[in-house]
Amino acid sequence: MEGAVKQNAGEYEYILECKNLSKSFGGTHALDGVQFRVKPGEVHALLGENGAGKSTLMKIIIGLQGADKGEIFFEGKPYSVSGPAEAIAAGISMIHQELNPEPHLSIAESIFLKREDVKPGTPFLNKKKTIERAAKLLKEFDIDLNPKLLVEELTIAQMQMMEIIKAVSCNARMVIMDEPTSSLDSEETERLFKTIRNLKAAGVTVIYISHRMEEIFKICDSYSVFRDGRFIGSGEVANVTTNQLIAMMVGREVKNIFPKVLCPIGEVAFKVEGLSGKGFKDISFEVHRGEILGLSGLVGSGRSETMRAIFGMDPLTSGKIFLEGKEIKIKTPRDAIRRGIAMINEDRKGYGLCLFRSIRENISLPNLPMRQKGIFINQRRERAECREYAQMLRVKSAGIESDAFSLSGGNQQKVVLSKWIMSKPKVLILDEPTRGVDVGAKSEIHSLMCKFASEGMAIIMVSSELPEIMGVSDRILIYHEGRLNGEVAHEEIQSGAVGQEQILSKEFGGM
Amino acid sequence: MKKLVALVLTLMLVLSVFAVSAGADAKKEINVAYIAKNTVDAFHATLNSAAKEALDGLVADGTIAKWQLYDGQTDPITQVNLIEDAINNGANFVILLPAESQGSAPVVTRCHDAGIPIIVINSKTNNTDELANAFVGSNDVQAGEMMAQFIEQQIPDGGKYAHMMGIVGNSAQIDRGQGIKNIMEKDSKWASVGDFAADWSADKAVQFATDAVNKYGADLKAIICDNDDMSSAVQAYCNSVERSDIVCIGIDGNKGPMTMVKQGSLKATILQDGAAQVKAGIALIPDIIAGKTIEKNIMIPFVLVDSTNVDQYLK
Amino acid sequence: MQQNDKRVLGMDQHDLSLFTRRYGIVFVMIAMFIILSLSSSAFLTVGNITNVLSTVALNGVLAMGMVFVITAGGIDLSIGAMLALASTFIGIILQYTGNIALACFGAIAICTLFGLINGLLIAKFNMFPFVVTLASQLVIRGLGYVISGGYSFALANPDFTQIGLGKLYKSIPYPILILLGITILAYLVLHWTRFGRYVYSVGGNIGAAKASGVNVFWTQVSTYLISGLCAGVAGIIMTARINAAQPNIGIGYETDAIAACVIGGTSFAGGISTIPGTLVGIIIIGLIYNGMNLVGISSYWQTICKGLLIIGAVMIDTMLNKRKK
Repeated sequence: MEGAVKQNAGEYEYILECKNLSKSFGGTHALDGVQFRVKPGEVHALLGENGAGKSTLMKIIIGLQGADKGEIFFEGKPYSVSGPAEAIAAGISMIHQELNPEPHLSIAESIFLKREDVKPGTPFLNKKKTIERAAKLLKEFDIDLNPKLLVEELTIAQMQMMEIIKAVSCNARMVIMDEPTSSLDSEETERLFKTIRNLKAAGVTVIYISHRMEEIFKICDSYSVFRDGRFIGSGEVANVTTNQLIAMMVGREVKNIFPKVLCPIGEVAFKVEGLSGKGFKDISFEVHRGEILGLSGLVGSGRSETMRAIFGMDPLTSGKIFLEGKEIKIKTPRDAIRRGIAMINEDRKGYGLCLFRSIRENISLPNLPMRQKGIFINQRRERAECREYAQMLRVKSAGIESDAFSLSGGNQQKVVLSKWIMSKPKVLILDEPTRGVDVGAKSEIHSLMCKFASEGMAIIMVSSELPEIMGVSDRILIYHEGRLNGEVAHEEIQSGAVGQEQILSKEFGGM
Repeated sequence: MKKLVALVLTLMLVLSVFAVSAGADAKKEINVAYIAKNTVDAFHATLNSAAKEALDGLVADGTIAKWQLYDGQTDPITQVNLIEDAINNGANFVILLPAESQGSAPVVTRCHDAGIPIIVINSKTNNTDELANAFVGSNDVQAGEMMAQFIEQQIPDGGKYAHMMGIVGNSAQIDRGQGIKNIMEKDSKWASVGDFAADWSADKAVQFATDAVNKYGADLKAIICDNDDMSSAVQAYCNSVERSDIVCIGIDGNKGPMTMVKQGSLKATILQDGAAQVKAGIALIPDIIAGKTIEKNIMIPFVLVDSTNVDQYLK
Repeated sequence: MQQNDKRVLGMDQHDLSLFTRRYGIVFVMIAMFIILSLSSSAFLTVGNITNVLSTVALNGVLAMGMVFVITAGGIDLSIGAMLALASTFIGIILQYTGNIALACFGAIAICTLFGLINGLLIAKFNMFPFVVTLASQLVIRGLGYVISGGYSFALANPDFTQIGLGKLYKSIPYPILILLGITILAYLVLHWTRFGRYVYSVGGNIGAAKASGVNVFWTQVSTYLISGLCAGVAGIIMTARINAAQPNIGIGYETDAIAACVIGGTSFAGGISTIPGTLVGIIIIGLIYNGMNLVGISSYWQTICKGLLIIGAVMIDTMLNKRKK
């Protein structure tokens, strides 16, 4: 495999060793005397809630920031870089959580950025050679894409795969992966794991940052846990349980990650019949008041597409929508909101939040037409109401006037939630609501969902995390390639009659 | 992909190289190119429409075959480009209203080298005297002097005055400023508070005037402006702040200021008879075609227009 | 995803669609050629075509510099003022030394210097390019006025005009050769060197570029440097054509340069411009003016036409890109 280097074992005990690293911003300690040790050739999980210091540590390692105190050793030698170029040259590559694609470069150009081939003796690029090298790499990773395709034409999942290929092709001896599976479906995740195992076999070390416990137990060898900028503990994955890890991460016993509070289910609040559109066909289902309906399926199976069409963002080619028994037509999101249907999208930076506006402005934005009569905004009332919701959802911030930008991922998601909850919708659609959110906030969001359900809301949740769907939903619908391929009731899951494998197989099209 | 682009570009070049060249007219028909300074100034708009009348007249009586207006957009580079367009379009006679005395000079050179007669109107380029067939204009220095003399007459006791300039570097600005200096510097009763870069613009002139009025108060007796767009605006401002005692005067004779003179809110303005300039220039065309000797430098005098004669000139 | 192996003119399906997106503007230009040839017998002559190309040479050179800046995600509003400054420098150097080469060098040097200053301010202090170049425009123009005392004057060395008005072998005007030379250089640098690749990456996604180790700082600075250099060269052409040093000239010329880039397919989001596209863009603008002058349409309509063309180009660009998604 191009890019992999056989490791000489036994030269040093730890390929990466951070001693007593500290970094503060203003008055806050992002890292406080942390230590972090990774053995060569292992897959090492880095765990911690958002704000625990994981990304700061990684930024220091790859040279985007400098530490205030402490030392780093890589491959036994002192390590200090002033920029990503040096880190890459030293053998450390990183795949960022927030994808950083170059929209206008081709796949080949993007992979080999900064490592282009030139015609010998001239400063001119040898484009043909670069394309050939890229094609070879793509083939090795079993990806059927034309290397001349522009990056902006790829799907998110494809872009991520490309980032991974790029990092690997840089002759990395250590690869840091930050939430790499956040946009991958089960099939692509398996492929990623296969790649990681191949890397391991070739002696490459992997630091794996993720919130998905099952993945960590599946693919990682050891772990380190950070909390509030401090190193809490590390060890072998085989010798620890999920609850113990969570306890280390949140500092308190979290009994049930997905607390399901059963609440009475009322009459049918929302019904769709024969919905068809781009990416989905003939979808029919009902949601009752007080019910949480989970939609599971592989990425691209049509769940988000269905929801976007219901919310009025995309057109429907056929089908009917019924709200509280009456048929309604939804052409734009405004129609949907006015009817009492709210949707939280997976892309909170794109659709959910105006990052440079304050929390208050974000929360009140879609609610203004309904809450405020007349041309002027009643500022005092706006502030009071927004504060009430922010508190109810336990948004951790320096007050509702701070920029949404300054919040952690989980808190941003909570702001998005409060924005829509304030309008007291009849139907709440959640599309990947806890993507990239830490465990603590995740469980808070789940409790909130159950609370809203108990208040009579009908909730539809799209999620690619099976344990989440299985834990929170009253009923699960399974999508396969744009159509429904099965339904599972909560009791069946609780009793163990239907497990992850069955649901997964239905996602893949099995019967 | 690159090959297709190369193919297309070559095709273009081939087309242009092997194109049929436009045949020159069989008999010597006169095709006049009128290269205007611009089509947006009030002064030039008047000038251009007078030219249109005159040139249409020449077409009607058969002296010339056709004529076309080319807009210089107050940019000498544009005028240099336009003369080529005109020549390619078959022009064999040129009327030029230069945008710049230095920058528009190559137009005159080009015509001279190509043997195309050229009449320069309203302002001179630096090579007009040597290379052009004729020049019709007005003596801006004289206009400046006329303004200064008017002020001396109106306010015999003297005082302070401000000078609002046109765009620095324009030949009209240079000459008018010179004329003003010629008179005012010799007159010990008058003192200048400054030459302000108002760029021919009424807005800018009013801003400078506001400052001057506030700073010098009753000492400020007159504001001399290089054009009357500025002087009329400044006078209107002075009137509005109860300072109608300040005498403002400018040059051109545009409609706005003339109307103010008629109404009595502006004491006088210096009329630059642009229409007369251009008509006189165009009138030379038949003579030049016929090969007769002509007057090479025609100066159309400025006229001091005040309430006594405004009706004559206000159209 | 299946790969369509059908090849058209040596390009597979992907290349073909990319080509139409990037160079569809060529067809617009060809259409204009045809329309103009039919409307005026004077259009398709050697003399006229040469004239069009000479006229656009000035704007074309400016546009070539602008492409680099816009592709990297910035903008340079100071090039019009640089034209004026270059012109005064040339005038003064010729007045004191009469040396043409020195005058050219001086013009290019001073403009490149200001380009460097622009770049440093923008890249080092992260200031908005719009604001910085808007301000430097005033400084540069002011400097031209100061040096010349506000006056324009004819060039002391009349041979200098040969650069603007002379022809190689009595047939190809020098400005066209200069434009051709600059275009080829720009093409090679932007499309065939690593630096060019970095310019695209910085404009496309500055964070990704940084994370890949691209030296964003020097890439940005270099684009402004190139823009300044091109302004200097354009200043030489311009001064030669009017045979005068004019401090009050060049106002608004940056607009035409930007227009050419936009029409040629440059995206204001930075990242998808092409040099050939920009060349076509500047030729199209030249055709509008020339064609309308030949046919005798008033200059008011010419301006309207230019505006509509820019809107049209952007709309087509957006539509084509939307369909891709």
